[in-house]
Amino acid sequence: MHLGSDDLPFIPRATRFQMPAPVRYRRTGGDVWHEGTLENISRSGAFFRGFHRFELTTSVELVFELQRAAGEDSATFVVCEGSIVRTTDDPADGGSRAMAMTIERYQLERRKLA
Amino acid sequence: MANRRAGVRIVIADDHPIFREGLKRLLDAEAGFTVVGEAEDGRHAAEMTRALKPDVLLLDVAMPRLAGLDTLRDLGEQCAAVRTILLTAAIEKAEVVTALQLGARGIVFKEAATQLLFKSIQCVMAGEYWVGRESATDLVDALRNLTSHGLETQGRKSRFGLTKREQEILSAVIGGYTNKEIARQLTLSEDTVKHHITNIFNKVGVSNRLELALFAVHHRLVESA
Repeated sequence: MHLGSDDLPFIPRATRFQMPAPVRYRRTGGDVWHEGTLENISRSGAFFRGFHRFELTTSVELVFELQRAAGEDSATFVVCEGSIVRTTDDPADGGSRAMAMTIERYQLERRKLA
Repeated sequence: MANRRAGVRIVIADDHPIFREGLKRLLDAEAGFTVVGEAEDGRHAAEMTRALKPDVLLLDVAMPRLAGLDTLRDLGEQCAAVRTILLTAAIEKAEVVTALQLGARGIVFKEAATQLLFKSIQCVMAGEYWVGRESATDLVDALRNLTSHGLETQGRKSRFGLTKREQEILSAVIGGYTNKEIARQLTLSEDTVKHHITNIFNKVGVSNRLELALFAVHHRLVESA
């Protein structure tokens, strides 16, 4: 099966992982964090919902807990930075907005839990 | 391609008339779905699918005159565009693998809630796979998802061919440790750690540390609280 062409070689799409999780997000460098829910994420982007919607191209940071280490008092957090590339116009049930962001920079951070 | 006014065009193949009729009524009542044909056995299902070329074929596994899997074989490449979802009361894991290899896009249990069936149809229409109660982004993911809940994490890791050392390093990466910290913990050079991580990337098919972390958590390759 030919998946690309001579001019446009086939580039596999990044695997998207369904990963429902609470997230916090804010304008990059901003003071105010907003709460939301991650729906899915790949190495190149994340799709999440939140009551505070940012406009397209806004530079944002997104943080969520990836996993809690068994038997330890720490957890790994994913910290992403990127830009909003898509937002929905109609709010889902409950009034939250859906947003998609690119992931241009990321870090896996180990943090002690309170 | 689905007629946008008619929505998803579906053929139902099941040898139990009450089940078939009930399923037809549920689907016809749901916006976006249209039942365009019904078949009472596998041979009729194959003929109808070739003739009507539906978007989705809901195919009972246990049917007379050509069982579900044999129907899939019969349809083969001719109807590759038709997304087949197998409906079954029970199925062996080996049969699930065979079904996916024969081109099935989904397996749904008959005891499942109606909404789950609707969701499975939407998923396969979006190009994904559906096995049991969850979607999978691609065939490899679908096959990998065929793990019993009793499998040990260690068993999962070795399924991807990771060595003991690679498993240690994977756990450390997911734990948020830097290459330098991992090297210190395991008494290795940083270059050796990087080499191991590259091997892990290649074995599980990911491109960077973030994707590795997501992959590992998604496939439960690390112990977590």
